[in-house]
Amino acid sequence: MHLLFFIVISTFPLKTITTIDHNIIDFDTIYTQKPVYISFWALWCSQCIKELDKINTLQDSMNFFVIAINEDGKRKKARVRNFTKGHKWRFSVALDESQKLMREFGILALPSSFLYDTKGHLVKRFTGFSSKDEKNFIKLLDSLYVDTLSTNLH
Amino acid sequence: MWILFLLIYINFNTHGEYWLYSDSLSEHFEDFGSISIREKNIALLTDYFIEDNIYNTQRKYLLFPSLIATSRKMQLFLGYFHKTLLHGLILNQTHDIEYKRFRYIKGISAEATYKQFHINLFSGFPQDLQFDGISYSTTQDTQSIVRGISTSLDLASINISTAYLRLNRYNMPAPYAFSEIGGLGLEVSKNTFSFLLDAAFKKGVDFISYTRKKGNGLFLSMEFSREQYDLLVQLARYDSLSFYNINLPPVPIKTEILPSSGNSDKGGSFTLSLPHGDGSIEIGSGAIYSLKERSYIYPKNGRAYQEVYIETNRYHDAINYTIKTGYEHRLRIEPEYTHLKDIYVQSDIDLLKLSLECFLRLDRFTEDTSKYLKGVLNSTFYITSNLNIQLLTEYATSKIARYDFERFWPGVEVSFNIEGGNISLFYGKQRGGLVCSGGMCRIMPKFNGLKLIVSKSI
Repeated sequence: MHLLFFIVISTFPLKTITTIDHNIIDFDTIYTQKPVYISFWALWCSQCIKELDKINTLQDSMNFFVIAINEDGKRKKARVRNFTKGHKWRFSVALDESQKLMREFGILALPSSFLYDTKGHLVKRFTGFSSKDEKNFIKLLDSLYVDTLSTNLH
Repeated sequence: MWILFLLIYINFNTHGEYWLYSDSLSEHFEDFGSISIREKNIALLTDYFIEDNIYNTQRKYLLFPSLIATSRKMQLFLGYFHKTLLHGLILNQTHDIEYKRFRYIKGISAEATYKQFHINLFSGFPQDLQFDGISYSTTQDTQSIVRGISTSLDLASINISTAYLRLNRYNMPAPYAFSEIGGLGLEVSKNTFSFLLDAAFKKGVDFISYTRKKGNGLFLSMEFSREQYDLLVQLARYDSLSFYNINLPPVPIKTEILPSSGNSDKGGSFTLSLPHGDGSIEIGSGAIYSLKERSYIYPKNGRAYQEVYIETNRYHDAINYTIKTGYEHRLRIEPEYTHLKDIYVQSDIDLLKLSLECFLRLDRFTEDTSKYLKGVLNSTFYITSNLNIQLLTEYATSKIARYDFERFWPGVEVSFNIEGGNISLFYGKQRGGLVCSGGMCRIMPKFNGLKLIVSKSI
């Protein structure tokens, strides 16, 4: 008799990514240290830009890692880099050149964002981002710090 | 007896829309989404589209499945995939959710990486899916097969890439006739300076006139970055580079108009971004001209498109207030004369427990002999963290405009966030174009009636 078990899990989906400035980020060393926020955005999406402007300011006061994945395509690479410098985004920006990540994450609308805890589990997926989502995001991030702190104390 | 445990990751996403037109009471239903199942190094994913409306004799079901095997050094892709080579000069088969344009290659792709060297070989049939405003249409170009190879070498701050693509078309009168396109790309990045140069050539047979045809193209981009500013300069020259709708070279101007899609274009632009304490300013200008010797569409050295714009962003974090203002001046001459002056103000503010997002846009159009003003005012009230109401109004002083037959487009939309998605109900008129609602943007066709939209991810 043979038994086949399927265990459905949610794990951290990224191993490494090359940023628009040619830096390679190894997520195995990052997501275990602090929560990771992955945001998919495009230049035409005004809500995405508002979201990332806010995330940029939040990053100064809260300890989490941000990677913004651009979906404008390789044709607009230079314009994307110019835009991110103009907005003084301090987080890493990567280009999803052949839309592989977009398909793997199942992105159907922008902005779409994912918050992962330090175990690599998905805490929340945001589709769209309003000022109310920002408040939810801060609450979630706070609760993740409490969890991490209590785990470390134990 | 053996027991096998498989750790799998499942992801399911769906976006369904039901439209009811108020004038004809005709209905439209569409649902698109993706399902992916991943087990360590093997993934099975499929995009799907379902559509039912009066334009189809029967309900349309479309599946785009793929099987991906990944190891540390290699990746094998079997099924439907996207690919861009040399920033679009050689190939541009992409997934564009803004315009609902899904350009696939159906075939096989193998990628390998050794240290800083990356190689990709692929072969397949181009297969596109596009929403044309009323219905999805597919282009199953089984008469063509594309085969390509691309390489990339990443050295500290230098990237050298090459690409070659060959297209065979089997319905040619001359057997074994083919066209090919190839090129070289160089990227240099230092802290304060970035340089990008792509060059491509094309040769082969014109599939319409069956004559020998040659083409070439150059795209140059330079970026100077300092703490106080970032300056981007882009130049392009494309002469008969267009490759049967398979490539789409990059556009050097912000408006993203490439009048002859790489057949006869030359142009350039500059963009100056000035970050400051609580915001940013972006100033830019650019123009696209037709080439003297390849002017199919435009007169000799005709100016096809010209733009000047300035945009400012300012945030006040203490009161959670954002304001964005902009001015755009666009001029298009030949074959249609359009002159657009556009001023817009967008602001978001939290007032007590009520969050308000406001967008006001004023466009002044001059088309041939007619002039008119157009205004947009969108307000979103966030009632609770999960519920918002949006009031949308758009008004034009004249309905002489080439494509508009209305003057007033009012609408109301109620959106409710659910776990992993949202539900929204819209009633009113939509002029079409980019619509942002409930924190999300998408391109919409003209509409008058009721819409129910459900998005959900599991």
